[in-house]
Amino acid sequence: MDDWKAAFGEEWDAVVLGTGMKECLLSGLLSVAGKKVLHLDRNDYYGGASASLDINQLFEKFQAGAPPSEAELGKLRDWAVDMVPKFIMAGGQLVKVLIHTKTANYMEFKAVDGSYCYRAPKARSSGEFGRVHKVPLTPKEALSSSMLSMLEKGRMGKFTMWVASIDCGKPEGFFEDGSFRDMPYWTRVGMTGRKKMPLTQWNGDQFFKDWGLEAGTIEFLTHVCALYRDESWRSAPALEVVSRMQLYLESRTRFAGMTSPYLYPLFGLGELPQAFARLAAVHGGTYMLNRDLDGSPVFGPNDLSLEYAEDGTVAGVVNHDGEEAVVARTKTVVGDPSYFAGKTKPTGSVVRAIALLDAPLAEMEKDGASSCQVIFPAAQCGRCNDLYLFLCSNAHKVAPAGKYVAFLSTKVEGPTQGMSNEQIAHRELAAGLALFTRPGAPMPLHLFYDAYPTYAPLTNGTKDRVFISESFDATSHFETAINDVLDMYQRITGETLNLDALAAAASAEQ
Amino acid sequence: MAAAAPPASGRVFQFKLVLLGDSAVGKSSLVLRFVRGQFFEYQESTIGAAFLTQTVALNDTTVKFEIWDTAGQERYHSLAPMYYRGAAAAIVVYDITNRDTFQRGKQWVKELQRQGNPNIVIALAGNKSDLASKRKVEPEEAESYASDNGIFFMETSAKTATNVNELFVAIARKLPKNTPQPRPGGSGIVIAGQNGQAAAEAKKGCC
Ligand SMILES: Nc1nc2c(ncn2[C@@H]2O[C@H](COP(=O)(O)OP(=O)(O)OP(=O)(O)O)[C@@H](O)[C@H]2O)c(=O)[nH]1
Ligand SMILES: [Mg+2]
Repeated sequence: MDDWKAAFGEEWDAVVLGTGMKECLLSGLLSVAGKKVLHLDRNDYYGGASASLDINQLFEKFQAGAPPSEAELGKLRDWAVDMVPKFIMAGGQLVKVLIHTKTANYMEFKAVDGSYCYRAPKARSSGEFGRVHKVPLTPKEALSSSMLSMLEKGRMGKFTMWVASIDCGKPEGFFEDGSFRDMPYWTRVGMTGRKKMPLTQWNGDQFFKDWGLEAGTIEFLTHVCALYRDESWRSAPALEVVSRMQLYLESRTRFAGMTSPYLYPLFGLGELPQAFARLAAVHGGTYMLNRDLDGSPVFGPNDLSLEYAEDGTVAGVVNHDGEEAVVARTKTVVGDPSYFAGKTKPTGSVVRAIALLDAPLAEMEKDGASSCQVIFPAAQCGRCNDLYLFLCSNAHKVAPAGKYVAFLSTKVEGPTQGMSNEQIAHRELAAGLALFTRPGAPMPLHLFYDAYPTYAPLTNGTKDRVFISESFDATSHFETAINDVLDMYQRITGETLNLDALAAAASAEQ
Repeated sequence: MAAAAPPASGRVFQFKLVLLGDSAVGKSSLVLRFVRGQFFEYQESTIGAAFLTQTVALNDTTVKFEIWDTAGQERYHSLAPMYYRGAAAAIVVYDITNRDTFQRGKQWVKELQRQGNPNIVIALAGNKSDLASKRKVEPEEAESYASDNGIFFMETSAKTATNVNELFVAIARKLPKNTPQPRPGGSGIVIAGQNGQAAAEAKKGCC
């Protein structure tokens, strides 16, 4: 029996299938907690759906025809193109995990230069093009922003200062009168004096009405700052809207010299699953990708199937390898949806355009930015779901000098039957693609179109102890993904990870 | 000895150094000998250590190594490329009593030259030189392979400490010290928790 088979056939606290970023983070967290973890992948590389591809893999995946040329694309080995492009919110959960686990030591990060918001042209039929505006949040930015009317500039300044100043966890008092009895409130000083605001009672709509901000301002506050993907902020509790805006504001000042709330790792996001995999290995996790010494596969196409006990709970992961089956015995299996056909349901599709460029957007160039995020609020594009543009460059070591890579993503809204990825992209991403076709725009050297279905588990896994992650959504930041991981951790272990406490402890140790 | 010296006057450069090689060739033993001056006959297969640091004092500069060990991920051919990304130096280790580990070492050299940092300094270490009676790889063969491939070679013994400090000092000498840029993109953000706002400093090229 081969060396790896003997190891495979042991008894494990958990077997993890797929080395995507969510799975690697979970196996890292489980290993740190002292669990004995076996982590497998049917690919011979790390990252699964969230890998970063080199230029050859990229051209192969999208069947670009002619091989990449150095004359056109610069130093070919310098490209690293994310398959699930996302930025990391500096004050968000993922950074706390990176600190708590010290995984941040394995990687280098750099701030993203700019956070932008898209506005459609006033008259859509006039042949005008939409514009990309820097998100104006500091009083100084608000003053110089062409997005805000004169009156609105002052209101915005007051509003963001107030949002940054309140403590969401600590109401300033309780109403004692009438219908609001025992309801907590926060105060603001307005034209007519101090005013009590019942943030737990109000929804987002009521909250913004009270402030009297213009619709366009509310739109970028909710979509670009609070990161709502649609209009659900209207009925969400006002306190949630405020704390989401706070996260954005705090992230902007989380590290010195930041001009956006986002971080991104050097060499691309594919480094993230690898760093968490190393964390797991350092804490005793065992890794088996699908390759032997000379690179040929060790798992067959139907391997890594599940075996169940009589009571319906999972009992192991089976590897067939010819006639002889080896079973990794375990009472907990974790993995991405692609390993569990029949246990997941479709939740829609993501469509994405990937552009390789030799110039940034004009708006970025003006600000001297080499990386940015642009959010296109759904209403500005006549859609229900926002569009996300994510652009980075040699500054983050994902493209050769002078080259850029841009990703446009959204959730597919219309029917897709019989349509090519390119046709879907042109329908769903039109407002974003126009940025690269308007006069004076950087013409993409290459433009690739991707579309893929997303899945969610049918059950939460607590019955059969098979815990399945959700596919990555179209957002260009990590907040939704990290919540899925933390929730899975809770279901798997029955314990909640208190990231704030852990991150504080980790930093005290340093 | 050159190792373990307190930072001398002059400039201090920090470099990431990685160890590569088959299981049980003595990667961890070399690091342990260099950093702590220890050797264990029954060194456990590596888990637990993320990385260790050690400084080498040269005439006018001090080189601080951030030394990475594989954490066992190479055992089933599953080492992540992130491991050697940004590494300024690599020690590829084989066991002179085991020919297979020499062949595997050559594969690592190839992978580093293809995928690693283009200016990486690679050292080939033929370890366990104290076990001369069981030798399966002649130093001449390794030497000529090394010079053909533009890397440098030494036989070492973590057990007797032969050539261990010398190996690290030789690497420290070869590392470029004209550019104050130990790791690519040296202006990145250091993520370290400090309860809330405005915590981190920009990472400096050299300390
Ligand atoms: N005789 C002799 N034995 C050595 C020498 N170096 C290491 N060993 C022994 O070789 C065995 C393996 O050494 P390790 O340092 O654990 O090897 P490794 O390459 O780190 O192995 P993994 O962590 O499994 O990848 C241990 O029993 C060591 O005591 C040496 O120079 N001479
Ligand atoms: Mg070791």
